[in-house]
Amino acid sequence: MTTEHIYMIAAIDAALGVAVFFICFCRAVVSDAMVLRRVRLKFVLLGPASLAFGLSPLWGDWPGIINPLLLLAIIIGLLSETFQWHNGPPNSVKIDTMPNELKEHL
Amino acid sequence: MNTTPPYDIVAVLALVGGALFSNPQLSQALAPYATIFFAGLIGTMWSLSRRPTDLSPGHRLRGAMFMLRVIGAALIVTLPVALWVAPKLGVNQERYLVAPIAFVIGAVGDASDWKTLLVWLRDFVLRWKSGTPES
Repeated sequence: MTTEHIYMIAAIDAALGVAVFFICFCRAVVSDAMVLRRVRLKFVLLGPASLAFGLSPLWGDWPGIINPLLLLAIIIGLLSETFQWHNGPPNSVKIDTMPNELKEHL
Repeated sequence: MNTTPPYDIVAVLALVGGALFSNPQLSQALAPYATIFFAGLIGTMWSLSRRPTDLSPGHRLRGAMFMLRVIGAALIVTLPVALWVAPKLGVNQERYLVAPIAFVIGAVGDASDWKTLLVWLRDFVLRWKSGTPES
């Protein structure tokens, strides 16, 4: 792989890391204390971790071709549930509005 | 031999990113602040996700301003607090305290959250002194 290719992968990786962070940030903004802690924890950890993953060349850890693919898969996974978060957190993850049959599994 | 410089957006971004990323002196200088930033970011995301749901126009901007305030405070306050606390805890290298302190600053949140925490602490101490531990 040439230096240009490595730089290009690093730039794509950084852009995808920022994108994952932005999606997690948006979910965190619309969440509140009634959203299940485990759901909030997902966005709280995934956002900064993806940002650090995308900016890893800052501390000398250059990404390979697999890294952007992983971030892309995470983005697709997060975007696949966007419709549920369009008007705030879905009822299924809020303690106060959760259906009783889901509460049984907590 | 092809000597045409790259002009597409990805190639230009790659060159700019590469020039930024491949500077070892910059990496050395950024290391402690990157630690504070990411630890503070995790804490701030937690306090952000605890705030009441806000779907009015500009909610993302308000969320970003909240993060900017709290992470900015963490970047400014963490190192002095670590230097002050380290000798009291018997830790000889304050760098071990930087990440937990930044995380706590972020996790508590805004000025109003600090006020709530301090009032709770004051009440807790008063109750403890008077011998009534109930909340």
